[in-house]
Amino acid sequence: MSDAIELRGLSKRFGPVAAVDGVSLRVEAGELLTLLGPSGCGKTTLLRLLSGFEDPTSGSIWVGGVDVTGLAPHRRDINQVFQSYALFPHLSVRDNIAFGLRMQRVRPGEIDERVAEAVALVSLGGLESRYAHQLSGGQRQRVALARAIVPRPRVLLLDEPLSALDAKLRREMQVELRRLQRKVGVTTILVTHDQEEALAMSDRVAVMHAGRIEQLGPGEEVYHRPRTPFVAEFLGESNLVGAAVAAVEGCDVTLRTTDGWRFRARLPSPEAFEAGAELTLSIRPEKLRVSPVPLAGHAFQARVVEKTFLGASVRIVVEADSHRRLTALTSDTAAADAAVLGGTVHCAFDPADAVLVARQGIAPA
Amino acid sequence: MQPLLPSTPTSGGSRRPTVRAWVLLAPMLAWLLFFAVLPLGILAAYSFCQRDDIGRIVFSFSAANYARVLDPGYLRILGRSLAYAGATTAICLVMGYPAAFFIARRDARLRGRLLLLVMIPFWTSFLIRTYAWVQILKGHGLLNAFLESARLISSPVEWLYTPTAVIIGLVYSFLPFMILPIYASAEKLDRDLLEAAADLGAGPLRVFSRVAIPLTWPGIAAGIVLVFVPATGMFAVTDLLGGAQVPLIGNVIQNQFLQARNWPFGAALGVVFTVLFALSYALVQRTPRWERSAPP
Repeated sequence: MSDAIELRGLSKRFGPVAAVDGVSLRVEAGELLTLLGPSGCGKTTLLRLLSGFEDPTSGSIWVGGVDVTGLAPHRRDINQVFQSYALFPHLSVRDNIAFGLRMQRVRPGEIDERVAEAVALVSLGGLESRYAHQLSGGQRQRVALARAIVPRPRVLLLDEPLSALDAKLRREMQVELRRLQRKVGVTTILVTHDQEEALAMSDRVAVMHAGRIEQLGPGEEVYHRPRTPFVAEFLGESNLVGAAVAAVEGCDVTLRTTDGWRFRARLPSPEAFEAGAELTLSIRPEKLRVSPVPLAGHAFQARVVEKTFLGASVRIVVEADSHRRLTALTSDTAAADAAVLGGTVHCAFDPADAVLVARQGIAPA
Repeated sequence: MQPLLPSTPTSGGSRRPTVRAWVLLAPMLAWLLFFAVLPLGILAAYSFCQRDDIGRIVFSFSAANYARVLDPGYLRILGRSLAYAGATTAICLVMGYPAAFFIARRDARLRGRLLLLVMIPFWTSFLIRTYAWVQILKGHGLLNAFLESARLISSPVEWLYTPTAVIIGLVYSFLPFMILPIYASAEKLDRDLLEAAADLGAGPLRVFSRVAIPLTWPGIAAGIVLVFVPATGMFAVTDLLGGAQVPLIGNVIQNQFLQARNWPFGAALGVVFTVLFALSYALVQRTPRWERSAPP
């Protein structure tokens, strides 16, 4: 019932603009893959190519080993949950959910059974006769989901499915949606600009930028080992530092920024770097420790210039002697209390937490 | 009374109109009273009267005028009127729906310009435009000249004073009244709904019949009423383009008032028509069930 999807060199141009630019990708059967990126990165166009509402300029789409590139939307076993939900206002909840089965000319008795099953699956019992305008946002979302999975598609597409819900409901639905997806076992592509949603729900995340996939991998890997400055900054916050290689000893590389700051990083295959090579590294704010007392290891002193209380954590922006600004995120209340605006704190990070994101330098921040 | 144009679901239920609302409504209510209710009442009263030899109204109650409406001669004309209006409505619907849908799917700027094109004819008197059609359709008119130069015909075809000319004139006159209300409905139709239907396996025909038609039905119904009703009563087009060859009920009613000077009988014909239309309007313009159901 569920099948792998393969995109081969898929491109879509609108005039001179390449909305999708040579994307090749394989989604395994039953996997949930997220296309994550800012608006305009091409993720929605990619989704429309999959559902068949746009035709690719070049490349092909394969579902379960069959080329579906030229097929009209209604001939593809691919169903979508629209961002607007797109529930038919003239049909009841029951008839909305039954729509796909009616189009497949399933016999009426079976339609009733499968609709009842889907209604139970998404906990909509008792609302079958309502119309869309009589439902809450969360209920509409469930109807849209039930409508999309009840025809048993080979692929399920979710276009920003939770963006219309409030924060609390969104978190609940993330878990719920993932549970249902696992239970039904349908290969799913989720499109979102919400990194938290992407990390919480997916088997793998594809970060998109300017029509291309910048990095593809499990959420943890993409978060902890970003491979490009864009990924480091889009997925979570990041301190990007451009520096030149000063010395290589074993796995550790000593780096020096143009303004003279020296620090160490533990990089994979450091022998590949010659002294003087320009690199860009990313240090996650939560990896930058802040303390009122001197820290062991790789430490430096800095002045506190900004402090923002975020609830579970505190964001502290510090400025080192060199006027370099770095952001730290700490949930250590003692450390946060010690950081007074204008005061001095001790900062440190583990060399292993400085991640190489580009083999060229960037201007000092 | 239902609104004539497509309605949207209302929220808030039934609130009592305040005094201020009545004051604000007063001019319109007065207008309706003096120009709709009162004339119709007079018409209804006349329809039960008689006339004397020189056409004056004699106030003696009689249903004779209504009995005369059932005369086979008039019933035939009535049937023919309904047939012409029906054909006009059908042609307007087939031509107008795609046009309205097309306009509604354009971007905002182009939409405005296309709508302007639909409405430009209203800037010229209806009679003058109908005379223009005489020029187009006559023996050595534009249409024949074009067909001859395109070598589609060898000698001029008689268009003018035929049923075809009447239908052409009626369709021409009423097409905008079909396009505009359908446009108003189609413009509100969300593209996502059409795509969702296709996504769930509906081919273009079923997207149309299962989603587009039901959701633009208020516009279709309004268009049908706006075309069918005046097309039935239209007499200028049939006079000018039909050359009185094919009298329709509008011509008969006009005759009763202006030539035959039999106002009571003309009034009876008018009342019968008004009632027929009110009934047909109530039928097509019912608020759909899904819009009537209240929010939770």
